[in-house]
Amino acid sequence: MDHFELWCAKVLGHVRFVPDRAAIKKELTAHYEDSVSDFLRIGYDKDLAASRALTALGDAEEVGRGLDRAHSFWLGWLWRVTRWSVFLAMAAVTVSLWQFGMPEIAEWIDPPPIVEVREEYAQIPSPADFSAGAYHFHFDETLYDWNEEGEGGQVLVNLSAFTPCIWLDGPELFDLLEARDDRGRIYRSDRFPYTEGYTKDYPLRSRCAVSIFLDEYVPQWLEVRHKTAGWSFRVEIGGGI
Amino acid sequence: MRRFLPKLSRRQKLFRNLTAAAVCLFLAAWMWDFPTWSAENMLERTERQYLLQGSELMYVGKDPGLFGGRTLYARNGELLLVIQCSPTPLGLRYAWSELIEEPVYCTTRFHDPTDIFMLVANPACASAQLSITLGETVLRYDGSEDVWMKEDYAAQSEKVASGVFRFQLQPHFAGEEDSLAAKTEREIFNGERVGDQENLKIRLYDENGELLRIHTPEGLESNASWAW
Repeated sequence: MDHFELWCAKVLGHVRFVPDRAAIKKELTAHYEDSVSDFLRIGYDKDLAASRALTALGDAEEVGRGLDRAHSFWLGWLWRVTRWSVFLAMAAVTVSLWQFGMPEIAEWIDPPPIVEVREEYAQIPSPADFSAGAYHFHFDETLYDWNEEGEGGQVLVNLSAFTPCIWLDGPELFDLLEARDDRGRIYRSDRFPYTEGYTKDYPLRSRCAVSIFLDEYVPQWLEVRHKTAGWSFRVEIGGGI
Repeated sequence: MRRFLPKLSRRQKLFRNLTAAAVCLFLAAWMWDFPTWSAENMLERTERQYLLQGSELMYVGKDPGLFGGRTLYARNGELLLVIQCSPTPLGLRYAWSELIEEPVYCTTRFHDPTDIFMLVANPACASAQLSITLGETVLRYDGSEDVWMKEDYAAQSEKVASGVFRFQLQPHFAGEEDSLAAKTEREIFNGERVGDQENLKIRLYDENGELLRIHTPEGLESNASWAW
């Protein structure tokens, strides 16, 4: 083994981050060979050029300690681990896209209502917004429809439920709502006359719909209550039939 | 070759990698509906969707296999909450949930109606007794009834966890018996025949053996997706 190889081995012995040793050796070798070429060009013989080039590189111990500080052991291994973390995280995204397809970003920004409004629905004043638990409820529109031939009708409330907790789905409404009108009649989900609640989950803003089915008459008002949470809102219809 | 992007130091590369990994993991978690790390976290999230708080996790049922579904059973006052989720590499992923507005609820396995699972909201309940009449009555063309089998069964509960009990009905007829009643019982117990259920009564007892209440549901519903 020649003197340079011995010197190099001494230097690399100080570099604790082993994966960088190959690159460091390559660079030191390049510096050494450039130095030898320069000395040969100005007329030194081969052995003298090699000796002078090695001296110019410096003390192996000092150079080794300096390189060890520059190629930090902990930073080096952290960097390598994070490279693998990025690959694994990208693989997780790829698998998720393959499993679920591209998300509908447009629907996230402006989710469509659950129940499409038909022409025959009449708009009535919406109740005031309110907050319950992690959600803030905003009334998008409140409508009602009544069949003049006495076949019944429906009150439909389209709501949005906002939450900053993006990991939460929308509020549960199905089978949890009960309504009462001005005549004391109770509308429930498990028997006629019905009230139903639905939620479609979107990040930040879920769409909800509450339907109350009317049969014999149009009440003056309806109070809708969530059975477990206790919140309620009142819809003024006007009645008359 | 000309460099278009600046050469980053190792520290900068570390920061860049950590940021990229965090963003990718966040996107993956979002697509998987933000799986939770534990059953308790899953319960806390689900109860927030029901606008409840302070629910107590009673039991976690597991389907066989590494990625078998999990069913969480919880109570909140007089309400029972059942949550179905599936384990993923990122954690537990929510599937569906059901809020039961009764303080006692019984269900059976889809193909084994004699394996009965009961949830009780009252934490004082320490044991229970179940009695039921199972049978099969066939209506003839002339309107008369033909009773193929009608037997009373009773079972003592096996406590699985606080508020969670199991009953196992035992057959009355020997396996080799060839009578119509024996055959009908075998078919009911194997899940090949639904049969008629009558007089279902569940007596709930506290630790001292004092009767807490008698629950009389209309019948036993079977459930294919619950794990216990």
